[in-house]
Amino acid sequence: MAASEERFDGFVREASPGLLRAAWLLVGDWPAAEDLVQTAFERTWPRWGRLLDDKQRLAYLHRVLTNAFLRGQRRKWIGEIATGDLPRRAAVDETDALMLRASVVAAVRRLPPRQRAVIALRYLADLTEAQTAAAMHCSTGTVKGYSARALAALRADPAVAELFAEERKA
Amino acid sequence: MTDIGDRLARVLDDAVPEPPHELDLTAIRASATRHGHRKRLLAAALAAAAVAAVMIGVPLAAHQLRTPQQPGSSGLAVPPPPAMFRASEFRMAAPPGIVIGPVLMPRATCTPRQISAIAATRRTDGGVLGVIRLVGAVVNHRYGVAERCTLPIARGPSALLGADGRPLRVPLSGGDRTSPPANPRPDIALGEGNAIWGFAWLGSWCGAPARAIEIPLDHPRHASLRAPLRGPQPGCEPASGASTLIDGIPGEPGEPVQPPRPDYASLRLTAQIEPGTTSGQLAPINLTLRTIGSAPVTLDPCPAYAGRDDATARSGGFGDPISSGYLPCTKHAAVIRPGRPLHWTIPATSLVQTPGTGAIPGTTVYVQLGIAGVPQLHLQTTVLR
Repeated sequence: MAASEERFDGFVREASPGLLRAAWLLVGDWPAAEDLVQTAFERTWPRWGRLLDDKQRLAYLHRVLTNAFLRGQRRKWIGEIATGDLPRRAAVDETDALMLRASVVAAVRRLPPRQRAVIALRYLADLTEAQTAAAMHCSTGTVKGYSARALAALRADPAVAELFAEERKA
Repeated sequence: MTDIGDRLARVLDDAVPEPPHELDLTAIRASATRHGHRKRLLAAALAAAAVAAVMIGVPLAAHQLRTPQQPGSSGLAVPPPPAMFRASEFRMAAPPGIVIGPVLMPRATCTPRQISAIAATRRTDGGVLGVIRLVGAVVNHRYGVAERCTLPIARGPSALLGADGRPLRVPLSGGDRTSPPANPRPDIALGEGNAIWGFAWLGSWCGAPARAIEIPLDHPRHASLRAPLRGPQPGCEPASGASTLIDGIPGEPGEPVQPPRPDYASLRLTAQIEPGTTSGQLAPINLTLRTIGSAPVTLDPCPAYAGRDDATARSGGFGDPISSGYLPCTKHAAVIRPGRPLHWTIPATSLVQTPGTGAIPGTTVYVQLGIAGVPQLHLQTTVLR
């Protein structure tokens, strides 16, 4: 195996867990998330030699992944049937935490694709506004706009009210 | 990041699970190489076309495009999987072993409208191999995990459908029942609404192209489901024999779901193992796969083998899986010609080796080895000390 292929394999192993989690948040199931990340790696490989370091490679991967997700949303041939049927609340603290996580994931999935992509890249993949803008082919101002609208939508969602409870108290 | 941003990041980090398994590096590299190859081929074709326009015309460009891909040293190059599918799904599982696992919790049954189904094919020797991906709709969320409805599917594809929705005259075969392949728990994949089902379409086909494939439903009001079909289809080559649709097996995405090819029936497996073995150290097994037929057999789908041993141990009689894996044909399909068998060695390991429970010296270890579509093989060796 060529040295570049070995480096690519190592990079795939290192970067794929984080990318898979971001993709899972975007698309909602593992097979689709794996397809998305696999597509991103496949499209990155031809440019591998031109990307100078892992930072550039990761930025390029995020860009391809976001593009593939948004393009997939535009030409989606069949839609997942969403449901508002979330688990019922229970009094146990740990259950409340699990409920909140489930509710937040469901609320993020209800956001429009670009807002969802901003949330996944900024708050799960931990990219800066500039890196998110580069991944999404837009300005940082646009990222700020999507982010503000996404957070406003989450604030208005009663299912995730608990997330913003402390903010309201303040 | 703001406080609310921090809180959202923490909640998301807790809510999004870790990936269940690693990506298939082989599939990524194969597909990436295919993209690159297409680009190079296009560049070569364009260059050739430019030269041809000036020098000798179009035939040169046509020649460039016809240049075949060189097969690998060990056999025919296995085509990459279609987009959205994995190479492993176009392989063949080993015969079933003893399987235990979780009990499936009941879920709502999918209606046909709640099932997303798509089928894709890739070429193989004498036809195509196909996989149907079946995904049920999300009907519930539990602890942050989406739950899909159960797929009411108990049988594999029943017919190929033309553009008018009518069945094509391609007879269905249940495949060779000699030691059929099986995945460990396909009931879990179907029950959790995320499954695949394999099929093969072999032989010559001179009729209208298939546009969909039909899957029977185990549903009181709906008889069947139609999955749109994309990818190559068998050509009109009468020498390839009559066209047949062969039912594969179900599995989770990523599992091997292909049926044995009919010509695997001419394969015979033989093996050699040392007559004596040390307790806890079952010797490697040298295997030979040959054909008793007069025609070469292409090992695509690549078969998996699985072995099992039974011995008498200090803790009582027991059996364990000893080894499993694919034959040496996952990237290049080995071709087994008459008089030219395939040899390989499997490293046999066994729980007979577990300290304190090793097989009792003087007793016999029975070894069973299986490849789907091929008669099972039985060996025995004696525990010397």
